[in-house]
Amino acid sequence: MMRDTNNAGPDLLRTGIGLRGPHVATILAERPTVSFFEVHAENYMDRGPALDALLAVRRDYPVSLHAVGLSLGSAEGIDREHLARLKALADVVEPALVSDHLSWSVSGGAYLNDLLPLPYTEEALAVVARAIAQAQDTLKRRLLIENPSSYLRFRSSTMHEADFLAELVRRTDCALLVDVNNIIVSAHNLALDPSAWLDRLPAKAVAEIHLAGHHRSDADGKTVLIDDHGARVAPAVWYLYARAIERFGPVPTLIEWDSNLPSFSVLIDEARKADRITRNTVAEARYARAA
Amino acid sequence: MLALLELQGALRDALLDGNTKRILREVDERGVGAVGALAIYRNHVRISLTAALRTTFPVVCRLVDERFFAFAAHAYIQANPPAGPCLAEYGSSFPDFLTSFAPCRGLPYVADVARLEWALNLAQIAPHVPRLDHPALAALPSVAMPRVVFTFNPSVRLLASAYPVDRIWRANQEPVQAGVVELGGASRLQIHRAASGPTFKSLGPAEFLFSQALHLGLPLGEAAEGALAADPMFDLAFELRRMIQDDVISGFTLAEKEKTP
Repeated sequence: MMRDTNNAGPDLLRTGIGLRGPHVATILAERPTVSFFEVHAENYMDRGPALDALLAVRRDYPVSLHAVGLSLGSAEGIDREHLARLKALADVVEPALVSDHLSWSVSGGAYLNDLLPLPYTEEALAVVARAIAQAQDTLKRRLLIENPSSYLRFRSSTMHEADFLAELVRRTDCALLVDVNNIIVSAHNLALDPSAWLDRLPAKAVAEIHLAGHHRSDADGKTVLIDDHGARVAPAVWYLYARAIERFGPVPTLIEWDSNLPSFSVLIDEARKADRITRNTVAEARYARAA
Repeated sequence: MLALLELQGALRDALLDGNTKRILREVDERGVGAVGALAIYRNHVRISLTAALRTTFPVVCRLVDERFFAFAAHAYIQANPPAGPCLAEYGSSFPDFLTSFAPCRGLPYVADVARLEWALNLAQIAPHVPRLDHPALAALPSVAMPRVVFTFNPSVRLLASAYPVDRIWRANQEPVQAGVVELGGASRLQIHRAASGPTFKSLGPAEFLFSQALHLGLPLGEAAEGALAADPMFDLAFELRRMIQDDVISGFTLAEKEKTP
């Protein structure tokens, strides 16, 4: 549904926008020409007024559900109760896409509220593949798996993250959500090459791209990139995004912004920029093929 | 090298308790470095969960100030991490924690303000339910009325405090007016979600007793008796009408007739 925007008017933004509470009134009043909105699923699992607002948006726009709570990488297994709540929400919202992360958040029953890194090992691969299969069975749809932003890697890792994701796709037929900002952040923090990272991903499985801002922290004489979704998309991320579009084609793209949330018009501006880069990159690729 | 379950337990200990002994050996030194990387994750967990608590308990935060709130929140998070990812549901035991938190002993009303904020939070996230079927209730024969057991709207909570938590709460809403809240006077509050959002109102002693009895599931006859015993002027019809108008009562059943020997 979201890929086919050929029939849309010239003003339609192909790039979607992360829906945040303070913008809902503006969106409902102004009906901007955005092709889809994405929400954090966990903010709508209580059947109160927040869900009413989401369903009001849903009447006019496709919605993507982006979960943070399945904890697909937990050795103790997926949280079944949470999975059931996600399914119940999906039944009401009828989302275009449902996604979660290649990470874990639950240990000993405690939810740690962060997308924590996994060791990329055979053991972890089996754990995550089982959880994805379970989630897809329950949701009765393909789940998109997002690469997290990382600050550490484990000595026990035997695989590159991109190869780990490719193997998950092979085993579970899941799709991928490539967060280009997370690749830049992780590659910097782990001293890896972001372009090579992108090139290792299985292009056919990529069903969505995320773009967001990060900030640089220079504590202790080392520069660390912190993924805070609190700024405009950085130049390095736009460059890698163009490369991603070149490799994956014009996949649905989303602008995410969480901390220091600006006015909605700033997000529209970022979405326009993503649209422009996609259009130019696709046109160039066509030209290159024709030449 | 630890197996995945142990590795995750070791990282959990580092994030919640600052105990990095087991996890440090597992982390690659390349890039950010193990100590720095663990500090980033630990910071994020603490800051984001403290922010979630601050969203739910803004008046408590204002009463004790940001720094003390963060100090109390860190201790709470360490001992009571969330059980699930819906953070609007996190913090149910924070009021009780504040009651027993020694540094809070000089501010005994703070825990009750937290109870009010938690009740307002529950009112905010409560599911919608249909309004009371008023004609069905009105159609009951009057002899059956004492046996009516009401179901409450899930947004409703009742809170009694030895402190005027309602006045304290109001005095700490934006824009905050300079002034002093007299700490004398108990409060008895009904918290619920109105069309405009979560709200509360102050009830008289007999009205509160009446609501409490009904909320516990006692039949109308018994609840009314208790309220009349507390205050012979208690106006049963008026109070019932008010509760229906406020959408506090959402349904009813009939209790079994008592068997007469």
